[in-house]
Amino acid sequence: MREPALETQQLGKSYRRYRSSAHKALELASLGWIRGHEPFWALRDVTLSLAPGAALGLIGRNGAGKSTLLRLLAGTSAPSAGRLRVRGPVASLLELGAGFHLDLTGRENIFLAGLLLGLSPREMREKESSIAEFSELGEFLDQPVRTYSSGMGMRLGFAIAASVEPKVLLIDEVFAVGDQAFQKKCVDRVLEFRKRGTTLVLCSHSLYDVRQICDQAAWIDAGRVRALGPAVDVTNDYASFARESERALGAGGGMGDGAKGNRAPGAPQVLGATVQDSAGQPVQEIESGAGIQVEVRWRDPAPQRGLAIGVGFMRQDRTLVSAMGTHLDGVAVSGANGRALLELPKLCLLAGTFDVLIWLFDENGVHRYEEFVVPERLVVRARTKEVGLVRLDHRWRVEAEGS
Amino acid sequence: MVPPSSSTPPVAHRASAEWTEADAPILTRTLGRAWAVPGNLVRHRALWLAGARRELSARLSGTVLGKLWPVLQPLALFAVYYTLFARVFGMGFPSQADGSDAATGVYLFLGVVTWSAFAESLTRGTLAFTERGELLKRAAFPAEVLPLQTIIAQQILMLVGLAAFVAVSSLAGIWPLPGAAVICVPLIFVLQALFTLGLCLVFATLHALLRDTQHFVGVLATLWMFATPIFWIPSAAVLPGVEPFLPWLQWNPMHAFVSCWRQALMSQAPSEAFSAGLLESMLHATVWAAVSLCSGSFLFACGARRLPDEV
Repeated sequence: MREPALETQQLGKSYRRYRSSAHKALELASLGWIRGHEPFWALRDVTLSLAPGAALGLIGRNGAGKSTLLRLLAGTSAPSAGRLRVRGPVASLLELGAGFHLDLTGRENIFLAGLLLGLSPREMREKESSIAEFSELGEFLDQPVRTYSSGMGMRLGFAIAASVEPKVLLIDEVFAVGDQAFQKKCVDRVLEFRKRGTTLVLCSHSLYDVRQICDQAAWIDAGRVRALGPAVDVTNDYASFARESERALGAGGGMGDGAKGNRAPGAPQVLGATVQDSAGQPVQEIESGAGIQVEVRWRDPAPQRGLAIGVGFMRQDRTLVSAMGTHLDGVAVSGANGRALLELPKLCLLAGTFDVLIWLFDENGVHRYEEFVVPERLVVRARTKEVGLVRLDHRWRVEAEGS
Repeated sequence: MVPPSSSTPPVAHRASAEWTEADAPILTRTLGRAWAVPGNLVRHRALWLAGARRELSARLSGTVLGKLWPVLQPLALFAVYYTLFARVFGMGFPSQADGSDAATGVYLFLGVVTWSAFAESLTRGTLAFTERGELLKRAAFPAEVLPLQTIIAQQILMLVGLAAFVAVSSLAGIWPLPGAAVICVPLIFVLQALFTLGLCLVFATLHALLRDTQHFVGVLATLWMFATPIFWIPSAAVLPGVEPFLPWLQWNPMHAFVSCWRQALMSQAPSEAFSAGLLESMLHATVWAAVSLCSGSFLFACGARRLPDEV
């Protein structure tokens, strides 16, 4: 087995919070014997191991500790606990362009950045033309960086870091700036690095980018790794968490607690509903494309009348993805007690967390007696990098001419 | 597309597969870091050379006279000292009684120019880490090059001024060209740079931790200037009141450096101005530079890990 390209063990970083400058002075003067600070742990107990060529995406809220972790890996910040090891040259794209000297021209900054990365002026001269070309800055390259737009600064920074041919590349929120065409160029470039075996750590708020580029992801929350695993799973978990906390903020409570609304006396009632896999076992998590069935049990005090049962899937952002009903499919329902089973042989939802809604209507589907929400949310996992709500059945056929 | 590099792979600062430990033994870690300082300065010379060049051009940009200022300013300074101290105050060396009062002007001028290079380096160098905090946070490079680039820029300005003075004064017949002792200049230049660097590493590290340091250094520089024979002549024959303090002068490192500069550049050195010869002063300067660099590296190594968090 090959040695990991990047390893951390119980890695932690704490910053010192002093109550006042006097506390700090006292601590310094006493050579640390008198403690004047409170430690603030920005990162704690991070244990990671990345094989050469692997790509790890770091996700989490602002201030969760992602950038702190990147800085530790880049070696610009020293760990306060645990240890880390990085094999091979590291290049980092930490908040691009921040290291530039604004009064120097782009070209001068190329040299300066190269020196900071540990390259000799000669090596930088060799790379200069390709950096200039990749950055697409043209004659702006000989203008002071002060005159650049943020996108231009980013282009230059990315072009420089890309030229270093690092073994380990650390990227912090790069794809946030720049126009579409250049973003694509950067992503292409990063994917090209991956193909050549560069180990990658990418910090991004774009779950899409993380899924596209990374095979693994770590969800950092309040300085700790909350989830670590395949990028698709972790981003799914994080996405549903993010939606949930968003909804908790917005709605202050919400659904998921069974029957809703005012039920008139004597109206039909949903006794219970479960989501099951195709074998009939209750499930809360399924793979996209798997088969499920929804079981609905009802009671009707007036069994002579006809009913209609509806089932719908609603994403957490309140998008009703799909809804179906017995009245729409011409299935008759009636009786004092009953059990209906809706079979979905292939649930083509893409990754996400969904509420399953059950409705009881009159036989024409006009009047709604009840809306019932299945208490357990349905979590759909997707192994694909496709994005959107549903996976449409598809196949490709490409015809091309010329080269 | 950037073609795959044909040259040697880029030097990484952490290319080795060593663990970076949070709880490595503090003494080993600190001593190791201090020991690495001289090597880093040599290895990353392109970095501080480029930095010094940048500081110089930044200092001169936006001015009409531009590159003339480093020449004009010292010449004006010399004119003032020559007129004021030698002519008006009549300050002079007994041994130069043959009317060569230019010696006083030259003596003062050399003292002031070399002292201010040191003092400016010290005060600017103290800010070397805090002023470039963003860089320290983002790039992994040896921070010790930062004060050095300030010092080198400052000392190059000093050299330009000294050269201008030597040329003009010999052409104008005020003072003869320096003798063979001038070959010591490069060595004095290096020794003073290393001496100043040691102090700057101490103060720049302390300043990153506690911002009072800058003010302290300002006061220290003023006191130090008067404790060093810049504006006075350390001779009982010239200043009788100064006699009890003369033995203490050997503990003032800057006395050694200023003596070196003066003796290397004044061909007709007035003997009473110097308690030690050039070689002896150079020896003192070497010892001071070594002491300063060692202690500076050590203190810097103690604080180096905290620097990016504090700036």
